[in-house]
Amino acid sequence: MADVAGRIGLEVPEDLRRHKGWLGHVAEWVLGADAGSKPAPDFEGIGVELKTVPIDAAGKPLESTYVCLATSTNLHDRTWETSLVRKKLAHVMWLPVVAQPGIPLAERRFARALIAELDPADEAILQSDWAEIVELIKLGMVEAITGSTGELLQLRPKAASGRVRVDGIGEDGFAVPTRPRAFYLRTHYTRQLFARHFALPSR
Amino acid sequence: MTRVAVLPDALANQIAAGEVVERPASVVKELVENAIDAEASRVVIAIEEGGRKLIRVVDDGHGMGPDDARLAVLRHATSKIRSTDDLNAIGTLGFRGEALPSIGSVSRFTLVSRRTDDQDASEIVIEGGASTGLSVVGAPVGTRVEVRDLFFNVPARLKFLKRRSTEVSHIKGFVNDIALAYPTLHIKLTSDGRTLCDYPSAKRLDQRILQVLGKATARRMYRVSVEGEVAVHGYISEPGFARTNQQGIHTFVNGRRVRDRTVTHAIVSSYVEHLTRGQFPLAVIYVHVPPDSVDVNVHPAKAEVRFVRPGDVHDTIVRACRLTLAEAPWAGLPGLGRPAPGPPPRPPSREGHRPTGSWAPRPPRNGPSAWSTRYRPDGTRQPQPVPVRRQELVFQTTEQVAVAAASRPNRWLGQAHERYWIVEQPGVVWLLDKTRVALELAAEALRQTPVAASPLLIPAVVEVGADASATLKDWRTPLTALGLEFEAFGHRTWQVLAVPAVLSGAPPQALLLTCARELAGTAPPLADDSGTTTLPAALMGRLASHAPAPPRTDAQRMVDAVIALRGERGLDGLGTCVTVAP
Repeated sequence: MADVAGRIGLEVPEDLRRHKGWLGHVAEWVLGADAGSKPAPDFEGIGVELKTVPIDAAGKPLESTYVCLATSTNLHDRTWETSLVRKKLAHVMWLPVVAQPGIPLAERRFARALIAELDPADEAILQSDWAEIVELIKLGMVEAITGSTGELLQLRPKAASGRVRVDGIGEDGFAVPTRPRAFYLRTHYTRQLFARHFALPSR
Repeated sequence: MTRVAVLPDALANQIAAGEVVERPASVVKELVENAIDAEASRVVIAIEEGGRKLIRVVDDGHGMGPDDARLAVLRHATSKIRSTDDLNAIGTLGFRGEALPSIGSVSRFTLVSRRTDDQDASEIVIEGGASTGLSVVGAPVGTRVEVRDLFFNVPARLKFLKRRSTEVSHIKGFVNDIALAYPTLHIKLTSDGRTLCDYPSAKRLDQRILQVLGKATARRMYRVSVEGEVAVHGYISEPGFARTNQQGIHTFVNGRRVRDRTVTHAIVSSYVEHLTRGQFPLAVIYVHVPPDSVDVNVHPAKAEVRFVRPGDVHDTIVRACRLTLAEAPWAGLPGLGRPAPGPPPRPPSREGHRPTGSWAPRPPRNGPSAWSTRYRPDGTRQPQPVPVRRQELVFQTTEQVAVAAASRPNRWLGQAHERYWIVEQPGVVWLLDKTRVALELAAEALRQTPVAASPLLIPAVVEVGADASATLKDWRTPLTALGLEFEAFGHRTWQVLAVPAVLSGAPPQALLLTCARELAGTAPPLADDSGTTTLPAALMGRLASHAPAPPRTDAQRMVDAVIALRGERGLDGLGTCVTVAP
């Protein structure tokens, strides 16, 4: 990581506690991702999303993968086909980073990248998860969505602090302040994906 | 211990009445819905003392003959459904066959009914659940039901009734709702001789809204309409015209007045940018869904429904309301109370409880239906798929599998001590060393070049001596054909990128070092005509020794494969054989 950061003149932070997303930013910068914060795939021209995934030495993903923020309002005309989740996941460049605890940030390494199209069987499950989650949001039951909702896709709060609030739809149909939430891919999705395409390190 | 006993009918009816007959308005609801199901065009309701002393409902529907009248007051007797199939696509307001016996069990009940072709009417009197039998009387065509002294025999329920004015208000609220649901129905309500509402048959829905909600409200209501499998029609108020409660929201699903959370939530959330919390719009919304995509059999009072796809219903309502809200017709365009540019929608038709006219026409309830796949145009039912007897199927399949497995000549029976496979052959049982099986298969796979490579998720970095590094450099191309891909990664350091797929899971460092060791001091021979360089046979065996221990799930496949590979040698040398006495 020190090599890569050095090439683009970036200093490697001590750790990621105050620099969440730093790995992803480095990868985007080096590889020339151009979408920035737009609601579009990172490599907008070729429609490929970049996802860095921290993994341990055995190739096991260490955390769920952020997909995109979930809209709390105006969902009535949204379909899976037009959803940002599908747009983001249709073609993904997966970039695993060996990042198990104990390895200093500067010494972490990129593992083998994979550019993969959404597998039809996975897509069917993701679509079903998305529909279930979005329906609960639409019906004002966002607070009933837990970490166990969704088989491959889940919805979790995402904000710099627990005090941040955005407009959502409440149980009675009125706008209510709610925590911003985002879609995440569960670790077993990425684990299966890597196992499907790579030889994983022996334990 | 108290013995189990079947409850007498009268007591069962009283228990059912606890759910069906909550208050006088519940009685009015059940009787008016029966009148509508009897295709009445006029319903007159008279109540006294808020319905406690008297509820009388008179309709001009098709009435009942003596046999039907007798059955109608028995529990679970109904003309509205016949089979479970009917329950899945209910087209009438009632269907449970509970209302009349329940009401009769907690009141002094009189039913008089006459069909068009009958000379006389039939009268049935029930008092506290006890029927005095049927008598012949004179009466006009239709049905008249009188319910006197409600809850006279259940004083506990009387205590729960509110003031007279409150009960009257509940009844009037229901009458208003049913009037909105059936605009062509002439409905009249009197209380203690005073007319509370009298809504003559309306030709159009907007006329009925004017009758029920009044001109001041109606002129601030605007039309919504979306067609589709889920169709939504009706009127909603402009954002500046709101209430502090939900009582101005009237919702109907397939002609049924409902208080459904999904429907109300969709209406309110459509206004999310227009109304502040605590302000509710006014709305008269009709939702039409295929009968088999909504379950009305959720609650005895049928005020709740359950949609198969609530998200679709929610989406359509929000879309319909937002289309109107986005157009902001109140900003200059006429509302419902003023002349509209186009013809206003006609009221929902009685047939199938659907609007007609400018609203999309729908097929009649019992005719060929675009919603239902169960009916054919000629009215005959489509052949239903032959039900699969799952239990039998499972047994049969399991049995077949068992027979097939038992007849297998080399049958894997299990694993012992993580290392051995127990394999049965005719007359013998083998204790096989599974790592040797894996090694032999891997070695054979490595001889079939080019070998499929399995890329490593985490490329392995290996530092070697100078000689080994030179050897690897020389042999890199033929080793790549073997599926072992590696590249220089600094001084005397190599990075392994892929391993032979058959050795996936083996430590890549060990594979590379094995190659360096086995090939040390040799130079690759010239490639043959096909451009292939032959690797030493011994190397395959050495590399194959790194094959990971196979899982149980691969056992039978690998046993079959190794026997096929070895031919006449069978399993000799791979383990210990025990002869089994016949």
